[in-house]
Amino acid sequence: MDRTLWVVFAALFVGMVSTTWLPVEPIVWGFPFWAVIALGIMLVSAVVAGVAGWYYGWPNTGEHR
Amino acid sequence: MSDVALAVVVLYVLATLAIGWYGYVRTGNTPAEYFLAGGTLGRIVFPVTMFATLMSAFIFLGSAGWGYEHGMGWFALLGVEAIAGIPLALIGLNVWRVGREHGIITPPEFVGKAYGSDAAKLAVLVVQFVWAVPYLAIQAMGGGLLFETITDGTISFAQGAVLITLVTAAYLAMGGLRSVAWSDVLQGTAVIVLLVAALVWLYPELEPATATGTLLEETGHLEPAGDLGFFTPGIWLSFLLMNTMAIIAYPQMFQRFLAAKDERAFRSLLVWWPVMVIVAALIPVLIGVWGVATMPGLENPDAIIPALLGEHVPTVVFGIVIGGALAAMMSTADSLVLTLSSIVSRDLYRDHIAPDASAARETRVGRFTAVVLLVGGLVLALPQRGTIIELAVYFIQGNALLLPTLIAPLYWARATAAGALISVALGQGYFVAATFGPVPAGPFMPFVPALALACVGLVVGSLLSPEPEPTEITATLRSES
Repeated sequence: MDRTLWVVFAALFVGMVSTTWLPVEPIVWGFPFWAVIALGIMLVSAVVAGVAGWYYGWPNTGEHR
Repeated sequence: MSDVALAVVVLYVLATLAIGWYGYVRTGNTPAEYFLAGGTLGRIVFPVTMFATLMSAFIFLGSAGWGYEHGMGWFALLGVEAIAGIPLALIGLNVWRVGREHGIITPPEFVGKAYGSDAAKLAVLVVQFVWAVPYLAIQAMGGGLLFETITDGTISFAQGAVLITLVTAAYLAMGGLRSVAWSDVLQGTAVIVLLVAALVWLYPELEPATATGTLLEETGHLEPAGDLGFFTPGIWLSFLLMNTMAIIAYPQMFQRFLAAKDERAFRSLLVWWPVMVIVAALIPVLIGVWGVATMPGLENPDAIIPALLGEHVPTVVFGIVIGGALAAMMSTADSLVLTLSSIVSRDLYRDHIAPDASAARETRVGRFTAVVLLVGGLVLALPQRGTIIELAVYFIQGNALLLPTLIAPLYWARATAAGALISVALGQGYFVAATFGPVPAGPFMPFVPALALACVGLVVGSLLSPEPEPTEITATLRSES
């Protein structure tokens, strides 16, 4: 699970880097297009964190010895 | 008008002091109790205190100010801290596991024991101290600015800065991390709720649809690079990297890892962190950006939120939201001061000045140091040199450059004290030379080439020095893996 989370983080981070080259238009709900993508990436991180914690029970080793 | 707002703020301050007193009567007189709340921060308090610790005057005022000055780009560069919650929880859990087992209290102590080196410990200690100074100053600056704004100058900048410093010193000296963490629950919740409230109240006045159209046609505020063209791709990458790394390397955040009650606290951190950060990153920048169309030509961009609130919302709401801003400042200042005072009392006083000092004396030295540091931050704040965000950026970069040294022993058995020292010297040396001197940084902020040097220094220095003997911490890590 730790490795998966690191990979997901790396992919999301690269996504955030790439938003600098995205266009301003179309404007979506008052947001420029690149900002919508950036917000989407942040929301994906929230969903991934929720799934990892609640569904998979990270850190799933129980209480540390 | 200002009397009502001021009354609400005073009520908030009194509530914080009451929490400080409650923490005081429940805190034992040992360093682990005072600095780590006895390792009792659970699933609710732990993630909220981490969040409140990160939220500062920089978030509430500086971010809105940069949104106003530069544009929407700052939203993404700050919002990257939402996805950085993943490494924050992963690394934090590892630090907690070994730290708890070996009774570690401070970040330099962790480094010293992980590398088996006093030199590495002292190098990290010095760097964390140097970069903390401007950050302490900006919390007092933020307090002064807010009080001056809400009282229309009746309370001056200097008086406001003194007031916020006195209140923070009072509850910090009383109960240590227990007071700080519980007040963080109030402050962190206040930050989130009041940011949302501010956006809801201001939304009709800001007229986002109209403002967006105006900004699109007349300014560059909606471009990633911003109105001034500052956020070039190189600067963009620089901010993403440093904001991601800094939240783990900040001394007050790193020390918080050690105060968690159990592993479930880190699950809670992983789950709730991104949600809290998205709200805190998005709303101030949006208000700042849309505020350009509503209130153009503001002399001090940092004042955009107080200025908009003062003009457009009822005074009670204004007071409550300003209370949230004060909450953000105090929760950062108290946490940073607490960490620095633990470093002084433990890593300097106990380890090098008075090895035979009792735990109670060590704690008293910590309390005294906390007050001295807050006063020092106040003294630096009064001349008002630099904007809030300019000063914060030094703190962010300087601390983020320590991350390779801080976490290398957790993940790389070959990391040595020599590598750590070279990493700190190269990274910090280049950063200072490029920031305050003529050394070039290319298309990036000085942080990026400094980070590259810090990483190369760590790897090469470690490989060229003899293979390290296992320390108590690395031995624990290897036995677990």
